[in-house]
Amino acid sequence: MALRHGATMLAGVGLLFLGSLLLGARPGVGLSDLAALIYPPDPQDAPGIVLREMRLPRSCAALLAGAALGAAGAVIQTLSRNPLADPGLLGVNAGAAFGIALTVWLSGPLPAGQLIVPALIGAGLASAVIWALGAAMRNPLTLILGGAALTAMLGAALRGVMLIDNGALDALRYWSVGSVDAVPPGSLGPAALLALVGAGLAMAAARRLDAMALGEDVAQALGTSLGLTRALALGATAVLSAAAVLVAGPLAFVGLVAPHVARMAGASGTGTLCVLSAAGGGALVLLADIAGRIILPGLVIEAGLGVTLIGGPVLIWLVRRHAAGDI
Amino acid sequence: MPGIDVQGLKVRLAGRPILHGVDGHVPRAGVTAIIGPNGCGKSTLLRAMARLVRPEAGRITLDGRDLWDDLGPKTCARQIAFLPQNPVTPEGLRVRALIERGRTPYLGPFRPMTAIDRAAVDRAIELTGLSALEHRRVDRLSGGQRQRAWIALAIAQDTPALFLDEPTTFLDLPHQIDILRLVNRLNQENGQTIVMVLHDINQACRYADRIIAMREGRVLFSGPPSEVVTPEALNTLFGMRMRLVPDAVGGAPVIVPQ
Repeated sequence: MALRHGATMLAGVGLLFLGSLLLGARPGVGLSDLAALIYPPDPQDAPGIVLREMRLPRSCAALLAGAALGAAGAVIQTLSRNPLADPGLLGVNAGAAFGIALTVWLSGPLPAGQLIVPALIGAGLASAVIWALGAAMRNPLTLILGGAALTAMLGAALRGVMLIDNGALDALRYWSVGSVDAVPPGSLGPAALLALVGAGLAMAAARRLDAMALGEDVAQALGTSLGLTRALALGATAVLSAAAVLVAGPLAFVGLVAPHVARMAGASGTGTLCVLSAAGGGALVLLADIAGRIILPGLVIEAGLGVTLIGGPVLIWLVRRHAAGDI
Repeated sequence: MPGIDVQGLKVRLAGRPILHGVDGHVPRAGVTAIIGPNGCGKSTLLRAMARLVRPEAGRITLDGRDLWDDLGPKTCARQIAFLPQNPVTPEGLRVRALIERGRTPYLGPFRPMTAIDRAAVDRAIELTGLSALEHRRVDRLSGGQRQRAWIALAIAQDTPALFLDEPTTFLDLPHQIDILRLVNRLNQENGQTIVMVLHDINQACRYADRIIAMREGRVLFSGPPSEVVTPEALNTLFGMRMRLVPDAVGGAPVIVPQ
């Protein structure tokens, strides 16, 4: 079942990507114009320029950020055995964004490749903090509350920096919201590389997480090292979140919603769950971005807003299920 | 000496001393039951013997090799399978997928399952009689079926020793007997060394060939039930007067509170 649903989801992601290339405020971009992406740039070809300069980067960024956050959500939900966990809600994305913003503020604009380091440090520190908190919080809801507090604190720190330095407002504002409207130039390559590393870590953790999902005693009895599994899984979450933040800023809810979609599609093992969550996350951000471009003519609604409009109700539904004792 | 030897074992959990110097021997290919009142440390002893808690002092050897000094986590997982009292059943997981996870000690992070792994899983499904249920969701099985699925995971682990922490708790009587018979079959047909924590002292006498009785973190007595289980011994163990009635069927004593 997972296989068939997986194929459907991948086909859906492909269609959404195509839609993301063709749909938007500027009409007149058709299937035949896609050929422009293969040939060398032609300055006379307006649809070709729109495709190459705007639609392609934002579509790639939406897909990359969504897929990375979907997989990160799958990993952190499996590790914490908490269906409410999400790198966005837990403050990992906010950590990466704050790391980047602080670096940009202190040293001025930097090439995207060099922002990898602060993004990784920020995401890594935030995951370490939240894990230290989570170890003392067995209840799924308390972990989320701790994450909300961390996210709020990091957001406040970012706004504080923006208040101190008015000149940096525009550069910093980008890192306080999740969107793919203005993908930082040159960030797609480094972010894709980072996402690949994160995916590798997640796959290396997958079988260990499968054992860990049966409880810590069973995992240990199966010869799985708890410490190594946690380190790999938290590392994967941090690296994948950093990759997503590099291209799209801090998007919340993607990592929350995508694993639930993947589970409904029949994924149970961690490996399958990560792959299907990546597909679901990519689809979610693409969908939110396309909708944001066409719902109100002449106005672009940030993808982060659309994702939140979908993710917010899902979170409420999950919390209500939890209150009913189903989690 | 073949089997598991425990010498001067002291274990602390969250700073609290639980085991205060336990000595004991579990013979190879036998069925050993650990009994005792609640909180006497029987589960902790079993978990320590499965290498799940590091002892504060003392040593545990498996066929002469120290659990911590001579065996790594993976080597140990190929020697001892352990089933806790309350394992976590992930939502939506299918029976076969659960049992496949018993092969974890033989798989690297990226190596797919081989024919040997699949054969071990098939055998575990057959031994536990789960063939008709292998594609069902574990979280939707009845208590007895679910316990069989978890035991199948431990069987698929293909180890010389199988440890079970209160495998019959939460089950009704027919299912309790069903699980104990399955465990005895594993001992007789596979030659697996069985160690289990049991709540019901009658079941312990009936299904184990050796008993380790614990009280307040120490071993009170141990040996074959027909030799060591006496009214006096039970009185000290549970602080309650008991009578022994010879079991008409199996020859094992039956304990009735007086």
